[in-house]
Amino acid sequence: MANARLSVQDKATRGEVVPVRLAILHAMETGFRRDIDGRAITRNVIRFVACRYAGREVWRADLSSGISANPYFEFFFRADMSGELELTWEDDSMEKGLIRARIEVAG
Amino acid sequence: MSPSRANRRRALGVMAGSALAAWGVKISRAAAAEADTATALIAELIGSSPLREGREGREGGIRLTIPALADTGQSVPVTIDVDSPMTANDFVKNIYLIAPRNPRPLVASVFLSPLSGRASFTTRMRLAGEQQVVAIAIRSDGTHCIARAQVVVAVSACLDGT
Repeated sequence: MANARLSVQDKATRGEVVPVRLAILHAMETGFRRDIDGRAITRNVIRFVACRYAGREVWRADLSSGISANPYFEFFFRADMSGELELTWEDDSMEKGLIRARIEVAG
Repeated sequence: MSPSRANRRRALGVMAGSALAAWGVKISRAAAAEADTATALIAELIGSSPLREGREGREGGIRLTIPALADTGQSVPVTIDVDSPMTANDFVKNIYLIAPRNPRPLVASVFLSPLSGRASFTTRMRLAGEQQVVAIAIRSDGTHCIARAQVVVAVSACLDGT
């Protein structure tokens, strides 16, 4: 999907701790705002973001409306084998997101 | 000034005064309720986990980095770092980020594993006014550590009465 950007290096030495930076284009609608006619705008926030690496879940975050619009996350993983880094998320409207990167581990 | 007019004025003054007093009570009650909710939430997250004593300058090995003054509550950068070797026997399981005065105080719950490599999490959060932001880390050995930071917010998120 084009609504997110993932920044992670494509090569690592075995055992290296690698930073992951993820930015998602999303309103993170709180559910507390009202439209011009005074009707409440339905809440729609990204409920969770999960990171799988070489088929194993390494990181996950459950989120609330307290996360800013266009959420940004930075976290780490230990590169122990070459594989796919896969970030997935889902919002209140059940819309799912996915972004991938491949990392080659040497040594 | 006629007596009836003076009476009316006095009556209006009393009404305004009591309205103000009621408003004040409402505000302080709301603040107390917020504090209670946050305290209860923190207690629930920690459970029976004992507090790990920290080294000097770092409360139990956790560090909460957030600006002391945020221009806007819509987007405040925040980083939580926890000292941990992140090995299979000794790692940080959870990191919680709490904004006690927000309408939903639990902002994020992060789940880590030994494969996380480093117990660090950065994001941008909303803040509904000046408050003391709280970060809690739970380790695999069952201990926890906690950090707090006071943040002044120039323009709050949730200006629409929330």
